[in-house]
Amino acid sequence: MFPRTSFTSLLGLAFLASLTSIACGSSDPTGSGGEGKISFTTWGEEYIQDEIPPDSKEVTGFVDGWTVKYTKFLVNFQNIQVADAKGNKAASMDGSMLFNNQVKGVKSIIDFDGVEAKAWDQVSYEVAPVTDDTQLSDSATDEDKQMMIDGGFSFYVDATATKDDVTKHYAWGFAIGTRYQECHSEQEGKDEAGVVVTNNSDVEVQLTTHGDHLYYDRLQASPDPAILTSLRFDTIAAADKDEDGEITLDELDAAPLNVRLYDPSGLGAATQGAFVTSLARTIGHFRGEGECTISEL
Amino acid sequence: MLLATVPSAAQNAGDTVVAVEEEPAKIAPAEIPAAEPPPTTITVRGAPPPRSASEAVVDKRVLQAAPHRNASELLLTVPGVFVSQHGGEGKAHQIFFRGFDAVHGQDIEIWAAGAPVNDVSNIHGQGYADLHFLIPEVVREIRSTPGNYDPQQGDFAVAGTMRFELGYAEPGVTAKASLGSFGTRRYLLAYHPKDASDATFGAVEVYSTDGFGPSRAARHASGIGQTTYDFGRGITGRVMASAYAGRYDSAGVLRLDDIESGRVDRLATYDPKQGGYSSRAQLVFELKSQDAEAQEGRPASWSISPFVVQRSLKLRSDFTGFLTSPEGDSIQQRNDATTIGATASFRRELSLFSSHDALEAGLLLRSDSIEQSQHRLSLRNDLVTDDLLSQGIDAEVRATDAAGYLDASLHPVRRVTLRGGLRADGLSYMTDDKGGKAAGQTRSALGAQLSKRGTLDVIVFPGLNALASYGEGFRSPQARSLGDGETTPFTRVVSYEAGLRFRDALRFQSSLAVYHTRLSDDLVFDQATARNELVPGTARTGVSANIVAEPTDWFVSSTSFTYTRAVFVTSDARYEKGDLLPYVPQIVVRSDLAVTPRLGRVWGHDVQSHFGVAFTYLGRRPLPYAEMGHDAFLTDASVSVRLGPVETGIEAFNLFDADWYDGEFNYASEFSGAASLVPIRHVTVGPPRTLFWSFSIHV
Amino acid sequence: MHTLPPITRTLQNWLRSLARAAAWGAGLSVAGLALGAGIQACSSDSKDATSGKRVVLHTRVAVDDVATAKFASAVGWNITLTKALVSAGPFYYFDGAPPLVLREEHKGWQYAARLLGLGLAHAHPGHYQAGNAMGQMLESASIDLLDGAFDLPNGEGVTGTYRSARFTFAAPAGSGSGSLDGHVALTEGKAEKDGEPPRFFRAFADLDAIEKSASQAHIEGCEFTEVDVEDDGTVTATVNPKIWFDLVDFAGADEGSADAPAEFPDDSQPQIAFVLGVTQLSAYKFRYSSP
Repeated sequence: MFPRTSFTSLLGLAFLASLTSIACGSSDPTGSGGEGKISFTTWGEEYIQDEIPPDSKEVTGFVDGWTVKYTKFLVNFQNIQVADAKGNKAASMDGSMLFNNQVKGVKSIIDFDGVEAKAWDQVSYEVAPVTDDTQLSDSATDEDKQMMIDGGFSFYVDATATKDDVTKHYAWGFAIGTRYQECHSEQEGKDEAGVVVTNNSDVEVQLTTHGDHLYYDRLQASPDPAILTSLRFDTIAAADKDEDGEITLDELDAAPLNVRLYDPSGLGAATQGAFVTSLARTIGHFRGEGECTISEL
Repeated sequence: MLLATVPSAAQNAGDTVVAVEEEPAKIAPAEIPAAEPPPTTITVRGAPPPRSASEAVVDKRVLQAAPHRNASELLLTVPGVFVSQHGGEGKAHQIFFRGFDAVHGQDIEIWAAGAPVNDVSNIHGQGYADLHFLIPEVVREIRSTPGNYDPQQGDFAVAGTMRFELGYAEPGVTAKASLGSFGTRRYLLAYHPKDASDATFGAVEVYSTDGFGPSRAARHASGIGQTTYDFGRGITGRVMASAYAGRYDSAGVLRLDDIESGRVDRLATYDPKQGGYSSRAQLVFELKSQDAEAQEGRPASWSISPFVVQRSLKLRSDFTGFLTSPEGDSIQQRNDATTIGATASFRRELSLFSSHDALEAGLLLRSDSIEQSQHRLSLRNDLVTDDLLSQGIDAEVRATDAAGYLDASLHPVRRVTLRGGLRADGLSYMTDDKGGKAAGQTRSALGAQLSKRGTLDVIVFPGLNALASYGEGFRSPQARSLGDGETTPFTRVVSYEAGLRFRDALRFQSSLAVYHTRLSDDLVFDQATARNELVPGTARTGVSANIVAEPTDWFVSSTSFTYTRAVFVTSDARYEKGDLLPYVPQIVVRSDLAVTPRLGRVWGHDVQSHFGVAFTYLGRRPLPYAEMGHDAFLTDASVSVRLGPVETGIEAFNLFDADWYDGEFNYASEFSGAASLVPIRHVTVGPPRTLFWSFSIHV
Repeated sequence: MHTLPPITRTLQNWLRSLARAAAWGAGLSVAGLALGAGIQACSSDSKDATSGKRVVLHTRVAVDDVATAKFASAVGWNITLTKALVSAGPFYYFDGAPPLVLREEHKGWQYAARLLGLGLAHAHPGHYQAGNAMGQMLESASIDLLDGAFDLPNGEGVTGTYRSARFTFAAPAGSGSGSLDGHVALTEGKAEKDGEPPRFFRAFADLDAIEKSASQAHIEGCEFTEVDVEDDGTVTATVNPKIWFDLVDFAGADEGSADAPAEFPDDSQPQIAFVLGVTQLSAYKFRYSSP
């Protein structure tokens, strides 16, 4: 049978042709799902911006009555990567950027535009030693950068601890590289891996730094829920053997671990210095209270 | 006006409706009677033309050839299907079909009498399909559409679609009582008015059993009623209502090494508190119009069918013993859902290439309101013991599916037919989560999929057709797994099939097809986490052969052979490209045979007899770590004799009492002694020889 | 209604149909089997099985060479062990990376390392994810570490990458348990330090004390030298009792004597430090070797 030359047949043919052209398009008729923007930021929260107070009913703090105020909390972020479960990369950061999270406010690290709107499960970042190529954010100064390069530091704190009429000052630089990967956090009641980008909208991913971890008395949480991880400073203060009001990392390395108060939780740290250096790796978090798998760089 | 309907077993590949009008017989003028006899119209309603070479319609004669205990066992007659009931007599069967482990229905779209059977986002498994509400005697036919070649196939059609059509032909009242092994009792009452079509009937079934071993008792009751009405002028209506409830115990799994070493008896159970409850009520309306004269004298037809389904499910199972809690890993799951929806279609003939071209437009709407929960319970005192390792779930889900399709049927040249079209599915989910760490936050997600489907049908010679088919489909995710605003990620499915179909009038049909299906990523079920684990993309290649012979009134046989090979097409850390996909049985062979001779005549009534037998073979079940599961060969048989209104018979299941395992799984557990964290084999024991004696009265 | 029409004609028709059916059936079966064999042949280059396979893992426990002679602990005591017993098992092996990557610690090297900007490889806390269980040995035994390598019953596993392990302690039972006196780790020896009298000590750890630090006495995240296991082989668990003493300051211990070594007083620094040492995951290292 050959097509009848009637208007209806021509209409039918045209209709079929348009169907075929739609059919040869993508599987999602509502478009490709869209694109969105991811804004990476960092924040130190009140513990770094203001102070860590003594422990009380309202606020968790030092159980032995100390107060710690930071003057500097320098962190060098690098190699932020966003990828999906199959390894396809959405975006990655070139170089590194130095921040002082003692400066108030949420600070922008980097924005990624035009990211496909879907779930990006594998988000990772690193805290690595500062180099000449490191960019400065508004919160950090050239002197800070030079000091970090000289020491090979990726993370540096400068703070003062007070209790009653005793004041101790310390400035510790950590020459360690840490990689945070498989980051996940709780969003809308669901444990979400990485970040979900939605069509034509901007999602903030905050690399939160927790300033209280250096003073934990355990390296891993206890399996016994009755045993809590607490913030302590007495033993650290006592490491100042020459009583000059300055606690150095060398003095901490010389102080054996006080096993009555501190529990290395299976991970090995024979001195207070080793203990604090291990804890320095845990300051990086994800979108508030979210966590990542930590490994050495 | 005489309206005769030929049963839909007519298999000539042809159009949907053929109207034949007969002229009244010519009469000599001298004999013209006062009134002319009315014209005779015979309408032949054939089956819709097939979308693929292996599409099959299993009719009543094949369904009734061998004995079946429930509607899931009826599915065994569909070529390529194997079912296993590993959770007790009341939990949905696990269905294997053409290289897919559809778990409890996630990859097979099932419809019964016009209502969907799959549960959306059921907490136990996506697409959970519980067929226990269907009484086997009232199933008139099962239409199997493998693959995704028909634009009418929607959500869950990854391996294919099964449609159950109901009907009961025995006129009058049938009362049947069955007594069997293990304290089984079954009572059936059915009614079908003599002059109405098969689709008008009512049936009620009550069943109870002690089970073939400890913790296997079950009872259920089910009622189904359906009626059709002809409004005239080609418009017909149908109403169907059903209600079902069942309660059952389950023995759960056993470690294979415990059975083989004799530490436990084959029929024992580790946890006697397993089991569940299931209920279903549904109401379906259908309004259909055929042969209405539309524009330009071209026939058109339409149909609309709204439905309401109410489902409740409670499951208590213990797969891992004491792995996550010293008080036991007994998990209780609850799922209550109300489904409202409708299907509608409009079809008209066109003349594009020929005068018999047609275009159909249709839609499917479905809205599910689901409340679901999951908690771990203590074996000692049934208190909830949820913790970080086994988080509680307490969620409300609202799922909506809006889909539409366009389906064209074109005849560009003689002997060649092109059928196919486009389908668009839009699925959305809103989840309100109060379990675990969630505190009542709500998330929502929506996604859409456009699928192209087509079939090329060439008539090689009358009776023999060659078909080639292409189809796209998708697998939808569980609602709770979606983040807020996430574009719903679907697994993309692409299927190809080519084959031959042969028809010899009504007596003999056969088909041979080769098929290939690719999935963008796949799922392997992990019992310990009760979650599907995402694995790399897969390809399934297979061959399906099917022969149905009904040469006489008293002989029917149906044999099918299906072989499928499922492999990974990419590698990841755990799976290599080219390795077999675990849990997917490779060989399924089924043969149903029935001989129903009339033995003679006694006291003025015919003595009818029925001898039926069915063989099922399941071969080569790959399991993880390069192991193979146990093959199974089962024989079911029945003998019955009927004298007038009285009938009696014996049914035997697993006639040769084969020791077999219907479910085999690999995962970590801790039942006695130290925990085995490396996955080891766990099995559920298949039923031994079971005999039923039944007695029926037909009035 | 099933009626039986005249025999001969029906029989003829029936036989004809049967013949046709049989011919088609035979033809289809042959075609089907040929196609099936074809599919099988086309994929003959790939393995006709699922991924991986099960392997048998012979298991043994050895002691680190360091502990067989006098060694220096991290807090400066020189220790010689005369007895080291442990009740251990089951062991489990996983594919998750351990939370600890060790480098040899050398005191003089510490300063140089910092000057060069290299960090000491210290443990980082928490966040250990075991991943999938790859192998296990489910029996427990009482083991004399100083008596040479000890063979445990065979374990089982699957092929794949092994990276970390779980070392567990068990309540002593069976042969050899008498010498443990109900403890799960028991040592005796002599500790010396310049300017301090020698201490003859008997240090032990009990299951309930260990369970306070390590849930269910499971030492999670021990290092398993990363390896791709492809066949049967031997897993060797090496216990390093030196680590047990790395936090112990014997200044708080009684002197004792060679014939009557002194136990650490309850709740003393040495007792607490010894138990913490026994739960150090760095004290237990696993490796695989092909037979």
